[in-house]
Amino acid sequence: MAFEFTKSATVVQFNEKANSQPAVTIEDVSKWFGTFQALHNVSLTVAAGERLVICGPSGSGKSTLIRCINQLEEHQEGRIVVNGTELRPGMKGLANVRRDAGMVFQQFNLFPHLSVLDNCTLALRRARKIPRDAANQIAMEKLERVRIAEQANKHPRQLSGGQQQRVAIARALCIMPKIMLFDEPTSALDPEMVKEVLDVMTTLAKDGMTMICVTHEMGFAREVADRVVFMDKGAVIEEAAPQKFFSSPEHVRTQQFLKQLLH
Amino acid sequence: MSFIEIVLGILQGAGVTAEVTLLGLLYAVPFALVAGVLQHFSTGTSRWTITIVIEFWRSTSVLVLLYAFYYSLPAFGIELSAVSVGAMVLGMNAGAYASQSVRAALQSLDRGQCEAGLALGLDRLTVLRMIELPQALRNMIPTFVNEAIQLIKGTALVSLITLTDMTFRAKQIAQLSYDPVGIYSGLLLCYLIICYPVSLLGRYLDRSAGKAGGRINGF
Ligand SMILES: Nc1ncnc2c1ncn2[C@@H]1O[C@H](COP(=O)(O)OP(=O)(O)O)[C@@H](O)[C@H]1O
Ligand SMILES: [Mg+2]
Repeated sequence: MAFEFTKSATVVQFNEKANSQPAVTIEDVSKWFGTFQALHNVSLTVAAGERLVICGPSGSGKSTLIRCINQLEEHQEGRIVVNGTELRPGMKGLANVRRDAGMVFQQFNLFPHLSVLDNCTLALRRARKIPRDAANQIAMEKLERVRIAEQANKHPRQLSGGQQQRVAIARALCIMPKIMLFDEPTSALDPEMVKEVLDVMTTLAKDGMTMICVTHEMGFAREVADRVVFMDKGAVIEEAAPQKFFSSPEHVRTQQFLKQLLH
Repeated sequence: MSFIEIVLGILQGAGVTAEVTLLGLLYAVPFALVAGVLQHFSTGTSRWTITIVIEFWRSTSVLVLLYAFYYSLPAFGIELSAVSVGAMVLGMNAGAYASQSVRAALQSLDRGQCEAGLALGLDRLTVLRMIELPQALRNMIPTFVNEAIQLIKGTALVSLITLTDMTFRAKQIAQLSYDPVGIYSGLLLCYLIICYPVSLLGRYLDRSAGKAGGRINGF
């Protein structure tokens, strides 16, 4: 059901945005940690409104790639353009560019010394200089959207993992990002909490948010993704629409990976 | 002299002890914060420089510094009052020690905290001010209180540069009446009277910070 909904919405969006710039363009990007090359000439384009799922074995460079998109990691070669702005190491105005992309981390990374509400309003008030009342209003709206508004005055540690991750999603939404980046958002969660987070992400996707999700939740990928990318050893091995990706993957390594996931 | 008289006599020096301690804190706290933060952030030459400054204040004998500043600086035309010298030397010494726990507390924070702040589009300085320091300072309350107590006890040394603090008073009284046991146990008691409430205050601060921040560790 949701599957069909998402697909048709995407088609509309693609038609509308056929001429607009891509949300993210990655061209021939390479990245080293010291002498270790973590990314090998990665190229990837994400259209506005598109939902991309990235998967691959641990250590294949998925986090590194997604963190390059908001320059938590600097790339050494190639080009990364986010909403028309090219990211360069040490560039001016990086903070502004980062506000175009909201990021959700595997470990939530909520600020433990701040209430849920203040977690959400911090960037609004300190970076965007929005007065407290207005910021609170925006934050409550986003908390409502992830269905956790009633916990606004609690501290993160008083919440379950799933609740914390939903707060983290609300916090990222508060900066009004054009793109959402998810780095294994459900990997640190107890199994029974995975669904509540995936549900929130699915709702976001339905609302037309551009999303890049590193995840091994294949059900989510099938239902929500427009494209699935498989990475291995720092390179993009294969990318395809989910149906094709899961039913007839081309590369041996993709086949092996999917087989392992099922076991 | 009765024990009570001795204690009251010694407490006449409490004002000077308190003055040197409070002025000392005015050196210690800013120095600890600035030096700790700079050491955490800087690299290369600037890191070397700040490390050398910290090590100078940390590794030199406080007594030697007191003498050096009080008796030698006038030879270079710099006249500082005994209180100024005492507060500065003791304060910078305590601050240098505390700077190491500022740095350690910053370094022990989860890297994800800073990254989450940056990803939200906050600049590095705001991340430090709003995210890292509040958490680090909370973890440092015990160290800061310990340093403050060290500072109070350290002020006994200013009796050697002519200040009439509690220790100086004790020595004065010792010259009037021969009662080393009474006088020095009286002096011990006086430092305890001053330090213990500070320790209690510290415990209270730490507890309330723990409540607010979700950290459960005591002294
Ligand atoms: N800060 C770092 N310093 C050194 N090596 C790193 C660092 N971060 C990641 N790596 C290495 O880069 C490779 C890719 O890591 P990562 O992008 O985290 O993989 P994934 O997210 O796919 O599990 C791994 O081999 C990892 O050890
Ligand atoms: Mg990863």
